[in-house]
Amino acid sequence: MYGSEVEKIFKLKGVEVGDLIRVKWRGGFIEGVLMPRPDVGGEGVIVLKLKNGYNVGLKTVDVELVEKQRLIEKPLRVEVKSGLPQISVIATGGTISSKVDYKTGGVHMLMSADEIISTAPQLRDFVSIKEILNPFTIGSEDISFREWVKLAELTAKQLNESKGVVILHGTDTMHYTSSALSFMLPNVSKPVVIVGAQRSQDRPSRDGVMNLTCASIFSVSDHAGVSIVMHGTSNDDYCIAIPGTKARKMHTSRRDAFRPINSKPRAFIYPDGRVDFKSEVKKRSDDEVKADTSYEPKVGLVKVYPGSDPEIIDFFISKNYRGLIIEGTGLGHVPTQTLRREDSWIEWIRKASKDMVVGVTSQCIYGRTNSSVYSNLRLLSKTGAIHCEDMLSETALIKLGFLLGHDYDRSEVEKKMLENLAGEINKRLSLSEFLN
Amino acid sequence: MKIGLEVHQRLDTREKLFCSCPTRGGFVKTCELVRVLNPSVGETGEFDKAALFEKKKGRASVYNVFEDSSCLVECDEEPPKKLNDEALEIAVLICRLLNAEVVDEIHVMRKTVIDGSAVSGFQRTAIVGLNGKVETSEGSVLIPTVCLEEESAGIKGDRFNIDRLGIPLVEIATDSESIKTPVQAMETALKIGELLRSTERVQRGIGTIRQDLNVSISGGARVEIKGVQELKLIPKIIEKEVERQERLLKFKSAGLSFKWSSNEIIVEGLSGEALKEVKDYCRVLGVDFDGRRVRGGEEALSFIKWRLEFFSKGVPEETRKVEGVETSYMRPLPGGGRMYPETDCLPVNSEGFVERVKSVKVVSFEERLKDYERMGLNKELSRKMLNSNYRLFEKVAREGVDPVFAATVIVETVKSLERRGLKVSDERLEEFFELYKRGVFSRNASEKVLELEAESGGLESAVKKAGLEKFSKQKIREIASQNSFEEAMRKYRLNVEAKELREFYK
Repeated sequence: MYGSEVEKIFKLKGVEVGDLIRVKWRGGFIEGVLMPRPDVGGEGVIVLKLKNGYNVGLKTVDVELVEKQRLIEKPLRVEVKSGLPQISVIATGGTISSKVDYKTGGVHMLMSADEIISTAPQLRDFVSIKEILNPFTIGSEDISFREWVKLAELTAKQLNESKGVVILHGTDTMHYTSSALSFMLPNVSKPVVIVGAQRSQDRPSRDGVMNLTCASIFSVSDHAGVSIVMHGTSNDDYCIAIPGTKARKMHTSRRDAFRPINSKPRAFIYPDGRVDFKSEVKKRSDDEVKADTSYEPKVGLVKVYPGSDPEIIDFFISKNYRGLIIEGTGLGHVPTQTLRREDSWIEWIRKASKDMVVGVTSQCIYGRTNSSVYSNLRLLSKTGAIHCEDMLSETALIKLGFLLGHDYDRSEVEKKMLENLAGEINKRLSLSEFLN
Repeated sequence: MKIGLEVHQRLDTREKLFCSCPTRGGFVKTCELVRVLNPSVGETGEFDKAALFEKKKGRASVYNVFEDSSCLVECDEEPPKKLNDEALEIAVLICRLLNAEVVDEIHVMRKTVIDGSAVSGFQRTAIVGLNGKVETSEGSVLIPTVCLEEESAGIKGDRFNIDRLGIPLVEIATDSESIKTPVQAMETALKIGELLRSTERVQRGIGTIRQDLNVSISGGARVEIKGVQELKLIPKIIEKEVERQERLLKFKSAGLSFKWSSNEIIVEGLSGEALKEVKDYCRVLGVDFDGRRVRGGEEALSFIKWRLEFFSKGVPEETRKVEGVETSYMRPLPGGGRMYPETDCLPVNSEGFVERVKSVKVVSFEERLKDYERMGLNKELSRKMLNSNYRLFEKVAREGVDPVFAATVIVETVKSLERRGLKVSDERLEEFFELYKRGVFSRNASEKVLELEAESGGLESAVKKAGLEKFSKQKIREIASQNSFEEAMRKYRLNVEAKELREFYK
């Protein structure tokens, strides 16, 4: 907001953001609506919205009130068709469920069904929204395992009362949440669809319209499981559904950033209502869904790189971590027979394996890890570290936390790490499951 | 009658306004992009009418993507980079020439444009200067705003080319009071154009400068006419628009009646300009109209219904485009609800830029005219020279070429060749003067030489024409089979490399 000096003058003149004011500037007068100050910019510069809609920053303190603001709130009213399947929507924050308020500069959540529908009116043709829940409002970069637990419990409850659940989520860590829900809803009997947006809701080119429409369509289709639904390509033609444990954000800004890794898409979904399944799916049922939310947060993820200092493992040991995923190179290597002995990770991993379950994934992202084709892999494997098949690092981390949260003994955890619990391991990688 | 003028001029910068793409390109088409735009609720909480209109047409836009001149920013797949310093400096310089006050902080806005010409659905634009003016023989014309904005995507058939999207433009807008006559509007446009070119930092050539006119008559409404290319047509276009609005106002809507249902409208009592207007609307909205019966989609029909009802109220505000001196309907005039802040770009402090351009020397067209006359050009030739490639002229004149000869070649000889369909590029013209200086040809031969140049279509075809092209492997094999090495070299010395020929004798 404005600096204290400027605010003092505003107070004196009875001027607030949103008021029509007149300022003296370079010998003339300029009229405009006082706008909020962006969080960056010069001291003593006043931002005015001129009659033609433009904002300008003017250095002046000579202000005068012309007219107090008149805020006219127009209630949104959206007609809803009857007889459509009912879904529950859980709004958690992120681009897809936020709207910028240009009067105050603040961001607020789209909270009513009407507001949500108004951003993607097409979804009225396919579903009706039973309820919109808002367990928390948070950018996805700020999410922790605590929110996964809340979300899993809420989702289970809603699944038992509706045809499907759509979760509006920030995109940054959406694939962590989809993984967590995949493990925490082990007997999921209906669709759980996580959806986000890469473009803000204010722009005509926003991707959220098609994403939300397709997510709604998919949430009432005949399948059961946790998926991410986002743009399939850079075009506004169809969305893809990606299995919750096989999804990854692969681009910082493109609308088709989410890709299936070591997996086929679950389905293509078209905004006209068509769903084209691309792989085998579990059919929906009315079986009761129960959340299993025990989770051990003391699990870590560390990436090796040339010259990386293995002593970092000491941190995890000293902080009593119970599990560690090491993102190795290639097939799942760590620096092993290094020229300087102290650069080798092997002894440190052996030490860590005494009290921790250690998993190894690959920073290649695509493909399967291996514990035996090279001698260095065999040396690593002998320390007790487990090569996590074709699991994504993020998925392996959450799976490890989930397993350690339960009352399994160590060998059981290690065994289950290599069992396919929620689609996280693909035993048969095919040629088509790369870069698509 | 009220007349306003908006001049859009592309700036000659290295990079685009919000990304690092070059401002020239569009040669390598890489792929296509299909997008659907959805109007948003504006800051005022209402949908913009123009935006809804485009939505009612309900079409997806197809973009031709050129990777030599567009990146993820144009594709709306990456946030914009910071406002281009070079472009801002030129805009600030233009403000100086227009005596406009540069605002202390420049705030980039998004102006909703939903016809597909912006992939994002908005054009980024910012006010740089306020309260400028330009002098004409009929008095000062006020320039309330000087804006820096992005060029739109170019229309190519039913698609858009995104190579030019994002090129920096300045938009110079007059108020609606100072221009008193259609002729003064033309003079204003001319003056602004000259002033822009005097910076020597704006693009030249077709499409690099565009004029929009705003015309309204008492009882009529503001009509924006887009895409005026030829300045001398401005007075005629304004007169035609005034007449059109007058005819519409004269149309007696009392006799008009229509029956509306969800898939058709039956209209009675349309004639003259009103009939033409409805035809125009139907064409743009893509609905059938046989003069009486309108058939089409429900939403398009509701727009036609709205237009029919408006005949009793007068002339609606609308955007039209120029076709010769006539205009045709494009869309409703966008409302004020279409502008909101570009939250991805930080405000820019203008102080350093204002300081920097203070010392930039600009030679005005008036000063140049005087210089040219001093060099021996007559008034008419001087003026023509200024509207052509005067930078080349000044360069070759400085280098000792007779100014009158140089100007005549650049202005008249090149034009006369162009009339015959022969094009001479600026680079070739430079080469022409280079050869002339070296005494390769005489002044009298200059038209013939340029003709040769234009006809040859460049060095490659000249080489071919002169029989100097290098032979293919196959051809060399053929020669080798029919001649001894020495014979072949003697006959085809200019067409083969000896080394390659020898290969066939081993």
